[in-house]
Amino acid sequence: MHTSLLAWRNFRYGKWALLLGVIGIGLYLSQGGNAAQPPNGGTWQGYVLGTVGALLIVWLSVLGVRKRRYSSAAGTVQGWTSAHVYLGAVLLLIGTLHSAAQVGWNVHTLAYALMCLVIFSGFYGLYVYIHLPGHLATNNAGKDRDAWLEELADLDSNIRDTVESCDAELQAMALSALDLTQLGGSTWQQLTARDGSRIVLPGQSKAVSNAEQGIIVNALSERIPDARKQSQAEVLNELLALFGRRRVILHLLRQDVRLKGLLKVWLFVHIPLTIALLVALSIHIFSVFIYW
Amino acid sequence: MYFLVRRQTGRGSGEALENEYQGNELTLGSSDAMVLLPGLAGSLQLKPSKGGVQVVAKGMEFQLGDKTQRKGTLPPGETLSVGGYELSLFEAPSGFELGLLVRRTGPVKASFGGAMELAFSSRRLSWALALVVLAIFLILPLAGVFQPDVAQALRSSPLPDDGLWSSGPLVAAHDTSGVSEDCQACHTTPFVMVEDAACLECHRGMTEHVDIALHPAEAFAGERCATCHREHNEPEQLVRLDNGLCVDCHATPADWPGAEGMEAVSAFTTAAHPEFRLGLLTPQGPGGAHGWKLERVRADQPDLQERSNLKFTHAVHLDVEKVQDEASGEALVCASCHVPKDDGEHFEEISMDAHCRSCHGLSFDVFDPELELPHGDLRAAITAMEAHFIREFTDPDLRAERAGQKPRRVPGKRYAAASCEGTGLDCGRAEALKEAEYQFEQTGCITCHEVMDTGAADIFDRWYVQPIRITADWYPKGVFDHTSHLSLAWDETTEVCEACHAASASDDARDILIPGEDNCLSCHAEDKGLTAVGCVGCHAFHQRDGSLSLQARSSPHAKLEQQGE
Repeated sequence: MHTSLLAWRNFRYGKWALLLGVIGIGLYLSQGGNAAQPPNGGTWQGYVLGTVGALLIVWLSVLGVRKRRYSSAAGTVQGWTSAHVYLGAVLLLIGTLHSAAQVGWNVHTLAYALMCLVIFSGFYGLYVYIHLPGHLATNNAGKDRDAWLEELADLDSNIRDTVESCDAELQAMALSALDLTQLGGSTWQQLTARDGSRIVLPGQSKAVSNAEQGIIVNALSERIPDARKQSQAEVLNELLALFGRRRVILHLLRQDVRLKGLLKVWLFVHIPLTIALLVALSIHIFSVFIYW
Repeated sequence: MYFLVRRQTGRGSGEALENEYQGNELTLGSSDAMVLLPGLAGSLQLKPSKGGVQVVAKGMEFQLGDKTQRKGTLPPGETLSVGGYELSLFEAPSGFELGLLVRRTGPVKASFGGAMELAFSSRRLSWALALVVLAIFLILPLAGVFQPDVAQALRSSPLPDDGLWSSGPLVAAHDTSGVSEDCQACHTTPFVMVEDAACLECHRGMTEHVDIALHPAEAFAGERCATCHREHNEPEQLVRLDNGLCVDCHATPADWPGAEGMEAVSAFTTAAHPEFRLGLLTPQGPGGAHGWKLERVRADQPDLQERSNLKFTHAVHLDVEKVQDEASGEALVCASCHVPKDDGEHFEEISMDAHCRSCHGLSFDVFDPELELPHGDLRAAITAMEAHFIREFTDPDLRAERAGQKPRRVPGKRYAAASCEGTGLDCGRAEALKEAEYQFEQTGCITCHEVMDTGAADIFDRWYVQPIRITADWYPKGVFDHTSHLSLAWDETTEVCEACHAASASDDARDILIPGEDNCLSCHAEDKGLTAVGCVGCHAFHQRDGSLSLQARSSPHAKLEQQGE
């Protein structure tokens, strides 16, 4: 899917963007003639570049609308996205040429900076759209998140049953490991996939970190040699296997949450900044002409 | 109260686990509950009531009978379904208020309470950002546009003002109080390009390129000050220095049929620039009696002469054998007489008193060599002579003293009569006439001046001394910096001057010692890769003799032409 996003219709929009970029550079270079007005947005070439840039910004923003119009026949979403990527990239050039790299503490540079942030966040989005689906597929090994959660639930229920036959100390510890498992959480926790799971150790009132189920797995493995009865050792072995599996699934789920988060998180930058850009762009145009 | 919860385990069919709980109510949920049911989206609160148990769900709904609900009563014998579990009541053993059977019916999803999806609202952040940008960059500055008081308040506070709309820096001259912070100083009317009136409000002495009374000015109609002078550029630049400023029009004189005498200029090279035009002062009337007229003639025309009426030779004055500096005894140098003005281009006026008199004194009586004639006023000079001699011959003491004196003979001075027979008045007048004849006709005034003998009987009308007018500005349409050229590496400043002005060889005051185009081109030709200078190196757009912009741009003439555009 990802290659076809860029290569859609034999790089049609890549070629368009290239052409637009070349025309833009030509226009910019043709500004040398008027010495009263060094290259910037105020020459006629600057006005043309600015108008093209503004129209591109508005059109690129419409992708968000088109994506939600499932019944729309105005091109495929894939085509729109391909154009969005290429024309968005060339907008960086068009906008820079329009500004002639002149910056200051003003609304014009605000619009430019917002545009750059939107585009760079878009580049990040493109990067994750291209790379993360593969990672996600490898991570999830052919099953979706719900299937893994179900397996985890089964596993936990199994552990709860199995641990019934153990001593109260181990039972409490194992159950606390289950109850204090952390999956997901805040945006930061989701994106870092940091394991905040905890466990209450025997004789202690405060929970300690049980990242990657390490404490409970260690505790179980240490108890196996001390088992007095064959049946007890079997139970411990079974618990160890169950927690081992649990560790694998939890890790996998955390990666799943992280990858899906990364696929999504840039949009929380990309979209609000786009809206801010549209506002700043309008003010930019307005302010240029109110103080012509 | 005590609750007994029986749960069917995953292994085996009949096996069940029982747990006891104590409290006012029994809670079920995926976390933070008495009975943990993994995968449950919300929580349930159970309280024994009449006819079963009252169930309240939070964050989810449950199925009881045929109805989906959040609150209801589960009677014995019926089953409540929620999130993959079935709850039913069984008869509780004694000591227990409630017996609850929990069965898992389907696959459960594990849940640990933490969100697994990013739950950010793009919409809220978008609104917030949009409103912040709108408030800071539009609403506040715009308030100032309509309310000058608000603008004033905003600009004197750290709050955002319309300075945020500035598209670039101002030139240093405009980056000053009263202009830089007040956008409306120039942008007087919203959505209207900066008008000339805003510029001329301060720049009242600004002149146009031409005198619109003499030249067709339609080429400039419709152009604004800001056509050439653009602010807010980077780098700051307000004054055009490119050749295009001039040659866009001057390269094609044919396009300007009304511009008399305009010659094609496209660069400063021999081929592309015409010979300079000297500003030659031509006397009007005999001896410039009616003043001088400035005529501009090409410097390469043969036999051009300056007609200042001055008798003078540079050759003699620069010859140490003939003229020496009074104080040092050395030869005179150019700077002995020619002192640059502060503009570095022009020189202080040459005057009799400042430059000539120390050698060329106007003493007229050898018996009284300290006494000098007044200069520059013929009538005053004759009156002074008459008064002096009449006094000498009228006062008996002076007359006797003069008769007894034998003054030393001074070369170039008339040996005045020591004694005279007759009345003091007659003798004085006669002596004055003789001295005047000598001064005006032999040596004295006539040394430097052209003097005409009118033949009139009246001594006051007998001579006419032609006025002197030395050219002060040879190239009125060009500028030249003598100061920078004086830094050339010669030992003597005179040599520097003589590199361009061949003064030592000039034995006639009518020689024009001003170099022409070739002299400048030898160093500054644009096509030789030398020290090239563009048009504005020597010429300015705003001409000293152009019309005042304040008048030209608001004149009915200019307005009519603009309307005609």
